[in-house]
Amino acid sequence: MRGINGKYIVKRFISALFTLWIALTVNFLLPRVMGGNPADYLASQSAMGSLEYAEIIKQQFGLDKSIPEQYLIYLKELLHGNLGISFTTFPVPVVKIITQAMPWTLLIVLISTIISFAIAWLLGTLAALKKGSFFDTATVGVSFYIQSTPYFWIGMLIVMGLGYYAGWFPMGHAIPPGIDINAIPWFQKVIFIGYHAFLPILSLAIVNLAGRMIMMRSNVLQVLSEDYITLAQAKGLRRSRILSKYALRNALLPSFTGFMLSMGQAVSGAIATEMIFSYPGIGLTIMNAILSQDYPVIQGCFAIIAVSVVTMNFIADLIYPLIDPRVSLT
Amino acid sequence: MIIVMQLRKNSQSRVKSDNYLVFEKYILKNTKAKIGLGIISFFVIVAIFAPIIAPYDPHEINFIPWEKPSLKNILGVNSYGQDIFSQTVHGTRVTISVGILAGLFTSFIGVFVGLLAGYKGGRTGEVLMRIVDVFLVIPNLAIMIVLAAFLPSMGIFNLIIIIGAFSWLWMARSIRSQTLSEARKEYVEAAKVQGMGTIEIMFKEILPNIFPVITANMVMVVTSAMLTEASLSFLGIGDPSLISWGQMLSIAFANSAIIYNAWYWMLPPGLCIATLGYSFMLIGNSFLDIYANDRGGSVEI
Amino acid sequence: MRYNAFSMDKKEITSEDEIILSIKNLSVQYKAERGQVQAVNDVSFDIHKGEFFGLAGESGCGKSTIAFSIMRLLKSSAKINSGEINFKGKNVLLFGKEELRLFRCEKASMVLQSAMNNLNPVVTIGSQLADAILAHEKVTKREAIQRAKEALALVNIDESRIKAYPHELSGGMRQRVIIAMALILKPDLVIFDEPTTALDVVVQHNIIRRIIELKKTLGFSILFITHDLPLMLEMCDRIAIMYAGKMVEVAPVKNLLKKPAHPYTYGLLQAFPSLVGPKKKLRGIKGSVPDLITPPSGCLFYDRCFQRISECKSVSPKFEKITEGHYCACFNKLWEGTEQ
Repeated sequence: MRGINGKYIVKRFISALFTLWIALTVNFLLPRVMGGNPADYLASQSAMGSLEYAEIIKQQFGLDKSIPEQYLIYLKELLHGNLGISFTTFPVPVVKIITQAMPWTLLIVLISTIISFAIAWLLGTLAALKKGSFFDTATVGVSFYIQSTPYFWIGMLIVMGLGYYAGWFPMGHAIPPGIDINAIPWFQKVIFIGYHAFLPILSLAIVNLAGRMIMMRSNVLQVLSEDYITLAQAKGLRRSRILSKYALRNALLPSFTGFMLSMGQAVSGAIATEMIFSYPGIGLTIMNAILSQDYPVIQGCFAIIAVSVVTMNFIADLIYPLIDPRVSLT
Repeated sequence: MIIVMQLRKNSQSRVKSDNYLVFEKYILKNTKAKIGLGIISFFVIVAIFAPIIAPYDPHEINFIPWEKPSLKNILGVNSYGQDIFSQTVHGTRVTISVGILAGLFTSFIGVFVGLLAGYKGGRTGEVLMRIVDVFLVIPNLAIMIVLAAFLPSMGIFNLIIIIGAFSWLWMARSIRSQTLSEARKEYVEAAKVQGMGTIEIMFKEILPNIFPVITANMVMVVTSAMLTEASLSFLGIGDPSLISWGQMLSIAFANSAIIYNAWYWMLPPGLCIATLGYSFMLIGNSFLDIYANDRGGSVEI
Repeated sequence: MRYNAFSMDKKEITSEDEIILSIKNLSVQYKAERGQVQAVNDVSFDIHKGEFFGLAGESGCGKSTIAFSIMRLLKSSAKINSGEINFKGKNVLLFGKEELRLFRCEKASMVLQSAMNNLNPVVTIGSQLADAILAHEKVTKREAIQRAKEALALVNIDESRIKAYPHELSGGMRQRVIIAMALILKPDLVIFDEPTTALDVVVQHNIIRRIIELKKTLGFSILFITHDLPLMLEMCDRIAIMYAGKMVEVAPVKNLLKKPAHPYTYGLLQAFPSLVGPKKKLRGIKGSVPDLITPPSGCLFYDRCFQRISECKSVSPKFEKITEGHYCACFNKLWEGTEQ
């Protein structure tokens, strides 16, 4: 049966929910299992003086109750969109922290993902078509090398090269420090933001480009060795048609899911990059939270990451049958 | 007499044995693999003889901080006054051991689960893959960071466990899909008919046949383990008492090496990780290429 | 007595018949791990207009290689080292890119083995059929689809399936779609490479019957490749027998059955049971095919031949004419063409 039916959607939805539930449970258990008990932490905080805030947290998360009870409270709060209150920047709610940081992460990750996929497809296809040529060997070799480098290192080199040495781009932050982002006209806003986002995006794009190019190349090679390509040639089709309709259409399909998954993993993909560029996204937020042991923020960010990944997977599952007629929907 | 001579002549002009052919094809005639192995051997030797090769103790704070490379300090001095070259040499040990140990740990689980899921298929396979899928959804780095953040302390052992605990998922998937196609082949049927048990078939029959894929996966897992260690160290989650290439980069960045223009501090560790990782990739990918080549080439368009 | 499953009359080939395909001294090599494999070794034969020509032999004897060579669709590890493939007088091996493209499907087409992944899984069969037309003629898409529907009708597939995807069809139907694709531009020669080997016998029979009917109406020549000799004896006008890359005999079916000239042919005929008639003992051919990377000198069939003489060991026999339409490569033929 082609197309989607309700049964399929429901099944996938339940599956997504299940995965999400597991992730959130892990999120819940981690601090409690690993030995860093929020209740203990709070106790130490209250010893330092902010009694009232320790009380509020305790109440809200029932930290004086048993673990199963805490679990239920945790789930209930999640459903209400309440991720708690930050320890270190009390009384700022975690949700506010996240909503401030999220757009920055989305900005650099989404743009870099789109750019890297587009270029990867182009280069990968070219390399596959020119298999064995210098272009192919060089592109593949360089890509493999880039894949072997720690991705933050590339970021460091870019900062040093284009930021410090050449001085073409700022070396950190999302907007020029000291500027009130709301007080300037929109086009100036765009320029500032773009200017600061350029290096992080470049860094992320280069790193992701390598692996995707290699995958695309091998997809195309795989497809080119299929029998229906031979038959397409036997039909006397023009080379351009064989490439577009017969080869690429098949080669791009697996990449599509990869693309969607990358979008989903967007948030966590940029952690080190954000650190290097002091870019105020979710990644930097998590790292700072870890340094200051701000458990609610860590858990809140992780919960958001889990939600975004599961959601993107679910959407990808819904779209895929629409583009690949072979997929059976049971 | 004549018959004996005939036989002997036949065996001399006979084709080389199968095992030797495989060895020859994958290693001896495989330039990429040879280069890769060469590089790895180089680093392993450096790791083993680190105390002898490094001119100074890597922790020694005897030198003028931020000194550029000179005859005395080949790679210069870091912000604390330590010799970068000695640190790089000693860092080889940690990085390689974490990489290989975590890689092996990952591989054992990954191969076993992959073989099991692929061979058994049906229910068992489905359930296993569901579990794998659920955990695959969660971004690796994120969960490792979160895990590490909540751990009371981080030693090299914990590091290896954490890396291994999440990296096996990809491998299991890959091995499983290979096993699935092998399981349909006739020699597996024959083994079943002979009464061989599941484990026996998995390891004695199927594994040898997909060995190139397994090896390729293993080497890539080692690379990935090294990179993960570097990332975790960079993010401040590694073991601070160890000197690894990742730690060096982490400290370099934390001490604003960029502003100080200390390219001599930032380049060596990164290049080492990249080169060593690359050598593993060379091996792995050349294996995959040869394996794929055996299954048909492509027509020029 | 022979079981005539297809109720066919065999076509007698005379020297006046137009020659569609003339292969001269074709040799093809493959690169393998251990060295070069001489997959096709100095093969020559002709196919006439309207002829049903069969090419038989064991697996790996080079039959498919010849087929792919005619269409110039060999894999990159293969190389044609010498010979000519003359289609209506013009050497296909010298065609330029565009000439080759137009040659394919319009003048000669190919039907591959049914088990393979021959159809693009993400494109409808109607679209794939239309592509063949659109690549060769200037028609609108609508017209192309209309002709695609007609082609489907030719192979007894309901035109409502025009928008179906390959995985929605059965194996037999997919193969019929491929046949429709091969015929849609009304070529002069259709090459069938083991088209029914992977299908069950009933489907096989139906498909072949349809092929024969279409041949009668459209008048194309057929090069039919298979290892199923009894099947070929039913369908073909002339059959060529290949062994280890060499062509050992070509003969009209009547001659082949009554007076096979090559010992290998004789051995093959003894190895198949007849569906009717008295039971006879089956005889296999002892031994196995020689190594094609380091072939022995002399006739490649020497080790397994019951007719061998001393000459056979050192010199390779030439492929020569015995009588009209009947050729053989053997120093000690079972029949020299002198009897009636």
